[in-house]
Amino acid sequence: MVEDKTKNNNRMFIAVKIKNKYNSLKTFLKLLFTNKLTGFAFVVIAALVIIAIFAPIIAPYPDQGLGKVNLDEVFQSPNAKHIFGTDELGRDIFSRLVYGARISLSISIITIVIALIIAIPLGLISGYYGGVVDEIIMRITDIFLSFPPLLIAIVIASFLGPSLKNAVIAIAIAWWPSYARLIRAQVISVKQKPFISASKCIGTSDFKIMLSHILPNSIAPIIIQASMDMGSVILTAASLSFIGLGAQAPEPEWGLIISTSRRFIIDAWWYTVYPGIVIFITVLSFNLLGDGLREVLDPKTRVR
Amino acid sequence: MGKFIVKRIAGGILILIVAFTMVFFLSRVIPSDPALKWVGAHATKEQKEAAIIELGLDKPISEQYVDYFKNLLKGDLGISIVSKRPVAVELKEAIPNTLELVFISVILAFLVGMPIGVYSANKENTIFDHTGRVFSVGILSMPAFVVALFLQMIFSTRLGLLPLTGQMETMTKLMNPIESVTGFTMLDSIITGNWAAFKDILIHSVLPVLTLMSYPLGLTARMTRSILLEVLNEDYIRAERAYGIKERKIIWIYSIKNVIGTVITVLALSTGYTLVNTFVIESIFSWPGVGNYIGRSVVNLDYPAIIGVTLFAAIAYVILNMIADIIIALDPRVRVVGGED
Amino acid sequence: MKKSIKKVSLILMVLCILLTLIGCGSNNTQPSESNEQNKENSENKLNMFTYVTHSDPMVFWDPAETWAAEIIVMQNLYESLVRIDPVDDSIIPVLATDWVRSEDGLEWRFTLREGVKFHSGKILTPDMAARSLMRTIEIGKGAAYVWDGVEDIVADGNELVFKLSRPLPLLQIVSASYGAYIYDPDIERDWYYEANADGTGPYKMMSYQKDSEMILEKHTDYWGGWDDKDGHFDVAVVKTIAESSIRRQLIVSGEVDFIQQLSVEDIEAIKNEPGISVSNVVSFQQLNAFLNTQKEPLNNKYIRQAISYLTPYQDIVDHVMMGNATQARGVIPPNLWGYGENLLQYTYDLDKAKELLAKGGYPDGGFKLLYTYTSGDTNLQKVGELLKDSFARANIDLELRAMTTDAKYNLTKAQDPNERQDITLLYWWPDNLDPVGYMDSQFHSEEEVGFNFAYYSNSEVDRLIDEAIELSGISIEEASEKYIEAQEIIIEEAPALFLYCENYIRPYRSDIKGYIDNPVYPNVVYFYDVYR
Repeated sequence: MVEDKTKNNNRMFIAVKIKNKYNSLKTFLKLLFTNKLTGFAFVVIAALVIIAIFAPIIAPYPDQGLGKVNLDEVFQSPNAKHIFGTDELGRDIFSRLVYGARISLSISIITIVIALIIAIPLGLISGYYGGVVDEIIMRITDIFLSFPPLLIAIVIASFLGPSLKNAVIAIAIAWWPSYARLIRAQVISVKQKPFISASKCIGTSDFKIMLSHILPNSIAPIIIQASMDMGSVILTAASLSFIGLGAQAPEPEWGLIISTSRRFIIDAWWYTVYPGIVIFITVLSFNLLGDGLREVLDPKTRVR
Repeated sequence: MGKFIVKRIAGGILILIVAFTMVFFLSRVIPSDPALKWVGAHATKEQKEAAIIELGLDKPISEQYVDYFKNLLKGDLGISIVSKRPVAVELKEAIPNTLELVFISVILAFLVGMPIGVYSANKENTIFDHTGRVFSVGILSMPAFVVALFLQMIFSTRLGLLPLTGQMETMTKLMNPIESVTGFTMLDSIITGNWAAFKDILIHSVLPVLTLMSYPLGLTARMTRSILLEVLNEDYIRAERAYGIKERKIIWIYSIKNVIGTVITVLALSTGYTLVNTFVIESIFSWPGVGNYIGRSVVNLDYPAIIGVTLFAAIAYVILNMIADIIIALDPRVRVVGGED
Repeated sequence: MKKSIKKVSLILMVLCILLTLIGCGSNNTQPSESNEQNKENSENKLNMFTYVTHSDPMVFWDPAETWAAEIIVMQNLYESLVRIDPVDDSIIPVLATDWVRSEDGLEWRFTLREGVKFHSGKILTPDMAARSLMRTIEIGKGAAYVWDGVEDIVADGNELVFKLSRPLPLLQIVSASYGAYIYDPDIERDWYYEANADGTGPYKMMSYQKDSEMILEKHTDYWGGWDDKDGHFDVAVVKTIAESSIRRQLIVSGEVDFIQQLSVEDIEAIKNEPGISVSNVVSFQQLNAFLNTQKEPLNNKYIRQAISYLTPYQDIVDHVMMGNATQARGVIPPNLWGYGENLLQYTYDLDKAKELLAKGGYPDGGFKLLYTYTSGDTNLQKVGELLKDSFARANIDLELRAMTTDAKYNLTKAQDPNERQDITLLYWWPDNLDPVGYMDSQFHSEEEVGFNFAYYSNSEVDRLIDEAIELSGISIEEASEKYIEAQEIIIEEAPALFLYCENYIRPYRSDIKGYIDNPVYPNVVYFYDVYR
């Protein structure tokens, strides 16, 4: 446990420099867009949000998007009239996906944000202070993790009643413990770094150390995990529809659409493939954006 | 280290008790009518009352809890309300099949995912890196059932290379019955030298394993890549580079041990996810495992079965997290603080 | 660097090939070589019949309690005194060879077949038969209620004597699909639940693996004998395959012989494939949607009639069942006595519906109804989506909610009728060839909610049903008239939407001979009757 003093000073210097560097939002955005892929991801996500907002204008068949049946055109393969084909009740799949963006994007973003809001402070405190606090928080996460997530959802459904809002709460409750553990693992290795000890030496408060030194240095895995989880959240929400908690047919929620399509996968490939591609592009964009964010937030990868 | 492990085991037992208690009480407050399920909907009032006594539901809940706990210590998990068979027996049949599948998947995912991640990091922003990235995000964002069904369409229906579903052919089961030694079918077939059965199970497990490993594989590859990129920019690695140490040696000897800690944490957590994921995959591949069992008992509110599977899940988590914590404790960054060179 | 580009292009090439294969593979699925080979191998070893179901059939193992999907296995392991063939309304003797009914109808005597051996090797005696049926009645679980009105069963020489408290259609009862098995009464209940069975049926238990498969082998001492049974099966396997698309691929490739249930879309897609036959028979299974008659606004008869006119029956038959069903007429399905061919059938009529809505006090609709259905039942989801679409035309909002069977059932029994659903569905099929269940369970008033999900209560209907039950042991014609009279009232008051009566459609391999779908014993294949 012998520490090299000069190295310490050096680290401290870097830490201070970094702080100044991304203080302003402008620099932050500029940095974010230096990577073309990140820029691309940002554009895709912005487009998705716009599609969600203007769904009634963009969808060619708004009423079908919301569930109106069209029995004369069931299972049409993709054609000029229905570019993504139609489903078992003749509804335009493209319109449904456009409307579905509203539900699915909000479900996944809100769920992950809630989970992060619970997980980040707990993970930070647990990893930073260690000892009894750590022990208690980690045991709580263990208990949550050892529950079948579907059971948590059923309990919530029977107490709070079935609704989309409660589905979001249920998923967030099932989701946060793994984030908390992930942050903690990262914090433990970061807090041993010399520049942290240095900050402590010069009397920086624990809160400030956690927020401005430890968090930026341990956020990388959580950003990757969270951006990857966007898809899993959509799919989990669909499995909650099964117990009456999430979105209900004929709501055009993406996960629900793709789950319904499962039965027709052999004869109507477009019914599974297009919603699949849409979920894939969304997750990929969030993931690329997450990587971009990580590069900007993480001092080490940026200062080259 | 010994003290650490003892502490973790004690903690683990505590978690089991708390988890069990919570599940016990939660499953009793969910509106459900086990007595009715026990006797069937056409039963008379008297029969239903008899069932309430038979199931011990007339006693105060605290007494039921104590009774249940006592039986638990004897290894009795109660009788499933739905199948009316002992939960312990059913779990004993199902768990080994799932564990075999999950362990093979996670280990393969680790062995394949790490090198992909390392290679990606090493060739950052090349076409290999991008392909790897798109591929791993792709398999992460696809619902497991889509991956499974497409794999089946390609390898079974189209190419006829692999069987569509099941753990082994019925005919193999009839001709080469596996003697039960450990309860793990694949292991047993090796131990007893039953190669025909082993080959059959192996062939049948290829597609489920491929499907199951897709999530941990994608995750491992992505995690390894990003953490390695971080590590490669550490001062001491740069110093090593400056000393002229070969890049390959830097990556595989000096950097990788920094990556393994976090990757194992992620992997341990994703093993949990993989266990849950088996719900869908086992049903598609008709694999007689515990995933199927979890789903069915929760949906049917079969509370003895729910408690049984929760205990199983809790034990699995406790062990997995213990492994993860021990590995973190062994992490060079934690042990030798900041002074690699 | 060059090397890595090579690798990447290799990966991409493999991906392309795979995608092409999915593309072409999706439409015509051919039996693959390996499957053919497997089958050839199997034929060299054992003759095996494979039955595929969608969920593990075993719920009740005790033949006294059996009352669920396990019927497909139970009917092969155990036997009852007689069986019924609904096509020509004939009685097939099984464990009984002959029977007589006393003048007053209060005593029946069945002559027991001799030389019947259990799987365990024990010989079946009339005493065992009598005690086993009495055990079923005393335990009183499952379908034991079919024996209501039977006072006592005793052995007399090689005869079984049934003593009744009132005249009953006893042949329908002893042939019931559940609850009428003869078994060894000295076996303890727990033994059955260790995955055991001991009956007199032509097949016996060999192995059971939950959620996977159950293997039955032939009972060599079966009373029917195996001598002239060339091509019959040594082993019968019941496999559980949850995924509909997989079941479809298995039957197309010839790996399995019979599929209990396949979605109508899948059946349409494969029915012309070589080597596949499809059995399509009118069943007794009817789907009704119950309207909550205790809750605003469906407590109003006119609103219920309006809803009945708003239901697109033909679209439901065409799109949910792809034509493999007929619109129901009243409560009792065709081919069962009590069916009234002149009863009123509602049809879709928007104008009439609007008129009735106005009459009921909701001229502009404007109310919301909750429709609950079992999650995973895509047919019921489709029915709901079609109803929602149709109701919307009269400005009625239908909220669909998928629920687990348990949750759905609990909601139907909520204390306050206002907390219950507005519309829920139920499939009904008979436990024996008697319409009593359709009427008594679904529309007779109840103190505690059982299956009357409309919470319908009409003393006139109650009286007619009770009278019909009394009459059914004496004169089926008179009982039938009472049921039709009761249905007239029910249809007029519209406590339910009578949606459709479905056909049982089962794909099986064409080389399987001797299969007859008997809708009295739903989903059962008598393995003893089929051969290759």
